[in-house]
Amino acid sequence: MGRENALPRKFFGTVSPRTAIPRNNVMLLGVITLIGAFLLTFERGAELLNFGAFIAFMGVNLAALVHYRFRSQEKVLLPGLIPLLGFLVCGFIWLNLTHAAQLLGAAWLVVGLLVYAVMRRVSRKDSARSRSSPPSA
Amino acid sequence: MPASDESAVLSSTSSALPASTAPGLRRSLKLWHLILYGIMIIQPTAPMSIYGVVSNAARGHVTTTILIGMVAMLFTAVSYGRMARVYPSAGSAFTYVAHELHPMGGYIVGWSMLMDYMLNPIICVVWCSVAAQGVFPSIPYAAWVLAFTVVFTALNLRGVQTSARVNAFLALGMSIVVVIFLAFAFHYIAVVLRPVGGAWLMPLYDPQLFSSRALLHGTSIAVLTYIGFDGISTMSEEVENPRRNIMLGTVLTCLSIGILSAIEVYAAQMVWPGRSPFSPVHRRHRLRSGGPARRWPFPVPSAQRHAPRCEYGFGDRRAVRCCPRALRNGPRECAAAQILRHG
Repeated sequence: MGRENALPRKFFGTVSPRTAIPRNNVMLLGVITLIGAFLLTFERGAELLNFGAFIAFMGVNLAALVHYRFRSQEKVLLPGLIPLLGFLVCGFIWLNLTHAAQLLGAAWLVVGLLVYAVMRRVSRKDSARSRSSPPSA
Repeated sequence: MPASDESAVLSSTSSALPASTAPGLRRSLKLWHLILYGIMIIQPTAPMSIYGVVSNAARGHVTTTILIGMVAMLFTAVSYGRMARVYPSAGSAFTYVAHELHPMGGYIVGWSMLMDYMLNPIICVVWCSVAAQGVFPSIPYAAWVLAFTVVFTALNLRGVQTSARVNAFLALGMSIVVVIFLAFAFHYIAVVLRPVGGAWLMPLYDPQLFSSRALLHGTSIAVLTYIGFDGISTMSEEVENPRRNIMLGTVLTCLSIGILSAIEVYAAQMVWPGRSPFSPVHRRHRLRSGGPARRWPFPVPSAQRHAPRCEYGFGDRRAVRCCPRALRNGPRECAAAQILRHG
């Protein structure tokens, strides 16, 4: 996550000192929930959620495939076949989501990539600045 | 201590953090704790909320979609269990992908998960509002949405500890609902319906309604039942013999939820076959009669409580680790993570 600074830390990392609850996050999520509840039906929301979850599932299957089949010396049962089947079955289900959900999900990913590009530019500038002045512990 | 913790996290190696840096942490969980915990996060009533939608999409066949989904989830659970071994202290899909495949891939996975953390409370509020409106039709949808959102946000602002205690109650309540529902459904099947021969297989395969397209579309929705099972893979630091138990716990949680859900929707389909699709009126009627029910407001606090914590974790990964712990132990450990960060 670019050292997990993918989201502005000052806003999202702030927690209430007394209760250790990330107040800003909770409030923001409340607002998003309120808006989202008027924009999405249950079915569309569920499909979109599965769209995101299955990206993660496919990713984890691929990661397990690469690690245990090619990188690690550790012996496990069917190091290639199990994650490959997992990836394929998940991918198959993912492809059978409605097109509406797939389009919405893809739009979200495009936004994410734009955010990524902007963040990278910002953090590059930051690191250039911190290189010119000695870092404080 | 904080300094060594900092460097260990930042270097993002596969090595576990020394357990001593996390205060009050003991390997106290056994395998069956893990499985119970997993079923509690996923919720025993999970398939009930999607039943109507899946039944319409797959033209009946809800049981089949749940079982197909289970196949995908079992393979994936094995992969989660294996990756949790490699990254025992920073268990998350985006960590695995970022380190094993490509940082960019990790980012895409993380970004997708962020979307899900926002969608989770949204669909819960939508579901609750629709259901509540079914019971009290005179109160408009918007009012329900506002009311549920405010209540759940307020619960979250008050703190996890309340929610954790409330959650144990809700899990118990949900289990009782499932037991009562199954008792009534099977009583109805055995006494009133008395199915013979092929009628027993109708929920799995109904030749009059079957279409593979519809079935797969239904499956793509039905997998919502399993969402959340990966939560267990982040608990390596608290479980006895994590190398064995995290893997077994993840797989067995998927299996238990799959079988339990399949039994629930099988009973529901026998009572309310796919040939009579759901209309809002049916839905309302079902809710009132407590039939093959829709999920009642129980699960929402938990889903929304997950979200802000994990979004927080997105900003600071150490918080991700304290996330599941916080579910049981309250905010103390999250405060500890704060101290580590600032100290």
